[in-house]
Amino acid sequence: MDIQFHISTDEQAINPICDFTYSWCLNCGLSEQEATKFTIAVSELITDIILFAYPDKSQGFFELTFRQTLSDIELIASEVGEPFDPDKHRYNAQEAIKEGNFEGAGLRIIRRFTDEFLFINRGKEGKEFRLQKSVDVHKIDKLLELSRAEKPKEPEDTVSEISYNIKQIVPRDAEDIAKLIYRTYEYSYTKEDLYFPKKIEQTLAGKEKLGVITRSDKGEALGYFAILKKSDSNIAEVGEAVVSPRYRKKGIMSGMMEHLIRVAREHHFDALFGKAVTIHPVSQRVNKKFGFVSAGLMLLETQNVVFKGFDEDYPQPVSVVIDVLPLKHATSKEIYLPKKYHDILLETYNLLDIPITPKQHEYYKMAEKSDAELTINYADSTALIVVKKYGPDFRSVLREMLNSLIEQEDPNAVYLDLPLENSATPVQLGQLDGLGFFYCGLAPYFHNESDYLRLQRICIPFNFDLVDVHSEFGQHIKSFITDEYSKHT
Amino acid sequence: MNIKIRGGFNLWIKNMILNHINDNTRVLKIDLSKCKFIDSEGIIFLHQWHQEGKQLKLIDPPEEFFEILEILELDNSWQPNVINTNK
Repeated sequence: MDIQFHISTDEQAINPICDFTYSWCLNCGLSEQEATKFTIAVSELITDIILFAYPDKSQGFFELTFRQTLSDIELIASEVGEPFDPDKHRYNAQEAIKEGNFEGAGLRIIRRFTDEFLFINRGKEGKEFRLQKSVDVHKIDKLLELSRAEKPKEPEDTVSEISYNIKQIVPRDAEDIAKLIYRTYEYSYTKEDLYFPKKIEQTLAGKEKLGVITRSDKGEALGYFAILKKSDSNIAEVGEAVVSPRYRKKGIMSGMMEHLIRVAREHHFDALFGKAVTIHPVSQRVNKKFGFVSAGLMLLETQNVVFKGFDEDYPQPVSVVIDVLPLKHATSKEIYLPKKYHDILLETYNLLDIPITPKQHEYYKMAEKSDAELTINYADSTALIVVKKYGPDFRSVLREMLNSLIEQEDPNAVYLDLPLENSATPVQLGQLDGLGFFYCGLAPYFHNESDYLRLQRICIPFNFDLVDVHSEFGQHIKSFITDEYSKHT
Repeated sequence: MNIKIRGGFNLWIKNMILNHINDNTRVLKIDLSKCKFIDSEGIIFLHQWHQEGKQLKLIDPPEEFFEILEILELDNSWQPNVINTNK
């Protein structure tokens, strides 16, 4: 969940922001000492913004976004003040002691009191500073390591007949869900928040997650499957599927998927999507069985996958197929298909049965400046840039963001979403030449219920032969991407 | 002058102190026992006060105070007069 503030460059704001930051850090799971250090880093950052961002104005404004995931917290400060280069403001202790010149002192403290300090120059869109701190999940990490060495054996005895029922999950199911995950995977499951009943309870109470649980007639939890609502659109991701080993191959998984699709329809989601790993075809097969269509292939999307029997020898971060199941009967919408990807996008729309009216390139009015939102996934070393508006500075904004990101964060992959309902997209795609992006897929309804062309740029060596794609169309997408990528390299 | 700081010692507090002292102020005794966060603005102010040859006494500075001195490599050249009441 994001918490956002719009703040004036007034030094009176420092104390309330620090008080909030400290409490927020504690709530996110940092220790008191870590929370204090992160708060000091935030204090340094906002002080620099207040003092230096708008030297010629009595008052300016900046935005603060507090972002939390299970494994890390992130503070994003953005402003449109004077240009700035942190590398030009290095602290020099001798100058500080002898001449009283403490320039760069705040930045040095920020770097020492956070795990990541990232500066993104967004050109005319301003500047963005990101402070990140990992939340200590050390104990879980140890258990994960242990589980890699001592995987739970599949029980040989299975139950012959079982009568069960499937119900929508409620907060009081949280503990049983955590137990189910443990019984199935011990501590080898990738989504660590599922080992924390309180975390599960929070997401269920906050309605961020819907799902189903299968119980025997005696009340024993046998299986669990969830859908997670996307925060910026009316679609949801399917995932977190587990069935207790003794009760597998009894149709429980299929029953839960059917139930989930029904729940998703009742909640009027526009679509469901799943990110199916490509180190094995199992999840892709399940998705296909229920009518999901492969719409894209995200290379190097996750590096934390720990699947029984698959994990140890996989030599690169795992790529995922985006499988989509549209749920609403939409009226035809006008889509601007870039020539380069016209055929594959059209084919994807046809397979998804989403009616569109392809529009030709037409006159468009650009925004005064570009607007692109960056989200960094520190755990998986990836980033997603969503373009909201094109301005004359589109290429330079994107190039600057990309350079900052690659220089400082060293990501495995960067994904870029371009709005297909924006008439400027076909022409603006040409602005990306030389930036290393190539096709990823169609992301229907992905942001604000609108469709996006997803591109990707990979930043580390990659072996396509290790990507196992199940569906025929998924293989076509893979082949298309392989061709385009080989032309890039 | 005796000052007790609660919460953060930052730009805002530094400027408040500057507004309350004058050229005749030669001694500052600052109680930091309730100070939760001190940042570089606070530390630079204290360091400069000391460099000007004025007297400074700090009561119970938080742990991070010493860590920041180390980060800014001030710890060898400046040993502030600290009164630690929490024995």
